[in-house]
Amino acid sequence: MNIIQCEDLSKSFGRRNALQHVTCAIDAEKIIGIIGRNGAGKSTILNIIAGYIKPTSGSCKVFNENPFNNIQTAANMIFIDDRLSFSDYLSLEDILKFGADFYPNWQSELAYRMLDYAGLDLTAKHQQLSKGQLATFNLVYGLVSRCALTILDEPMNGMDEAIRTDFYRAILKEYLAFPRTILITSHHLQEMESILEEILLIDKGSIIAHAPLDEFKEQLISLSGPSDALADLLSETEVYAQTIVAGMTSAIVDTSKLFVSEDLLRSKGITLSHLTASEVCKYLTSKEGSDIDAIFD
Amino acid sequence: MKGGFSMHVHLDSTTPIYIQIAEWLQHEIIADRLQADEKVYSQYQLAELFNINPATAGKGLTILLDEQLLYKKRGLGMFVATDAKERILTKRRNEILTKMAQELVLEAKRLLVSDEELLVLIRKTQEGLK
Amino acid sequence: MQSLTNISLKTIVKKQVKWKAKLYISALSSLVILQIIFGILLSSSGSTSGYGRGNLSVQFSIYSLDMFLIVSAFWAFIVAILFTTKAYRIDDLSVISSRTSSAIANIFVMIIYSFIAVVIMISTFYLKVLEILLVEKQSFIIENLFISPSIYYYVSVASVYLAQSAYYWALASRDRHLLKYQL
Repeated sequence: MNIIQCEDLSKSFGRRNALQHVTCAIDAEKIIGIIGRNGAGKSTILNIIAGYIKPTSGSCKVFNENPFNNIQTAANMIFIDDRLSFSDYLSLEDILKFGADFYPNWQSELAYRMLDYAGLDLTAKHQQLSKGQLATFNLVYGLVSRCALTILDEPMNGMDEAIRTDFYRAILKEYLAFPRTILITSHHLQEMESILEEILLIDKGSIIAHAPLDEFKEQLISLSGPSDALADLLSETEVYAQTIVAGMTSAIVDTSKLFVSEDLLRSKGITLSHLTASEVCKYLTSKEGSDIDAIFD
Repeated sequence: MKGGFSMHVHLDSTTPIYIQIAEWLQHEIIADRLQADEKVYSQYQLAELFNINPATAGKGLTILLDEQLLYKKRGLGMFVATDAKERILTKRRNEILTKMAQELVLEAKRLLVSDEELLVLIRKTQEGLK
Repeated sequence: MQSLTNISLKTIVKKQVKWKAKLYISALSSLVILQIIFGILLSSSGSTSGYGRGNLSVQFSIYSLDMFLIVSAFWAFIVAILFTTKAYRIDDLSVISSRTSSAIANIFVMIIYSFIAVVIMISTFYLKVLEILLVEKQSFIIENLFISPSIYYYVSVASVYLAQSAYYWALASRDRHLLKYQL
């Protein structure tokens, strides 16, 4: 059941092409991680999905409707990022009343408990909070609204590690209590990996991969062994990265292009190891042949 | 909110999580913490227990279902198969020993030990442990 | 899948108007200040002309409400533009809204404020009348005044108090949190 459908979506800001011919479909009630380097186009596509900006060409449908200037979409969607702001005259408590007045599924009790747990003073103003407190409050606001489409753009930015762990769990628990579509972007994939169902990888304005988490992780594999044993194997497959040290080669290859069994590899002295999701992301999005070491050589 | 959830899954980030869940469930069955014909954890309970996405937990359960270590009762959930424990033990024995045998043979080859010498070594070890 | 909520544009506009009318009220304080500066302090004393014949001489000055109207219209124009700036618009995104609903809500808020602005204008007018009386120490013939001269003292003072107190009550209920931080 598709909740979001993008067809040939493009967006340019002047001469800068932020998104190029993006086509994707996102199913309902899943937690999806949107991953990509800075400037890859994550926030752009999320803003279009949220109906805040219009695409330059192509279409985006949310709940089967155009999300731009659409009250029905807005009633079922919430977008939480660091730009979330409220009137200077509202205290945090007032903001909770503000949200409760609009969102029909609002959980007041839960909001108070979460904010109490995080140690936030409800009489403070939104503008007076520290970066971490702001992120915490905004995330609570987003979760407690229980919107069918919840978009969290780097929700943990500024939070210390302990509270981040707590709030990843809070997101999961809220999702279990009230299933909804949650799109999360983050630069800390390793931290949030376990709660994700799918990953959508964006690079340079295009979608590089969109798959369930395990499938995504299995795309690339690491092979290491004696250089001569690996040499002919590597020539027959797509290599993403290679390091050669003292006669031993370590290479990252595309699993789908590897046609030898694990046993055969082991007999040649080549070991196979899996990569973490963030490593896979890194290799899929790194520039051809570029390497930080090259700057220092 | 704090604590209470198992850290089993967090440590290994390269083995797929659903496989780790399947392994853990098999462990629980062998250890008799999950008895035959007892209701097994639902994907939501596993999600909460391990702090993972319920779909991932569901995948782990499906693996065991496909291996017929679990069975479904319509509307009631998944249950541990009657012979699950024995089947897991047999499977484990075969898997582990097969793997060890492979490594032993390979290592012996690398160390230039002949097949006959290897068999003699194994016999000696068996005698020594009697 | 969960069923989606259906909310009408009317409901959202009503909610937005309710909150915006309260939150944007500082715009009215700028109106009061403008009126005091331009309406009372800086306004000319009207045109004066005099006649004299024999023992009788007449001098009359004409005062007008024009300045108030000009200032209020100017204020309304500026404020309407202000409400469409980014800072205000971004706040709208934090709750259920669309560009249409926010625009309609802003219009209603401006209408409400216009009524309040007229009341403020009337009370400032009476203040001006008081000022003339006290400063120039003259009694005068009033044309097109709302209430007859005999009771205008009381009415002008009362309406001034009413308008100002209503305004400050609104400010105070919004700013009670602010007071805590002014210590």
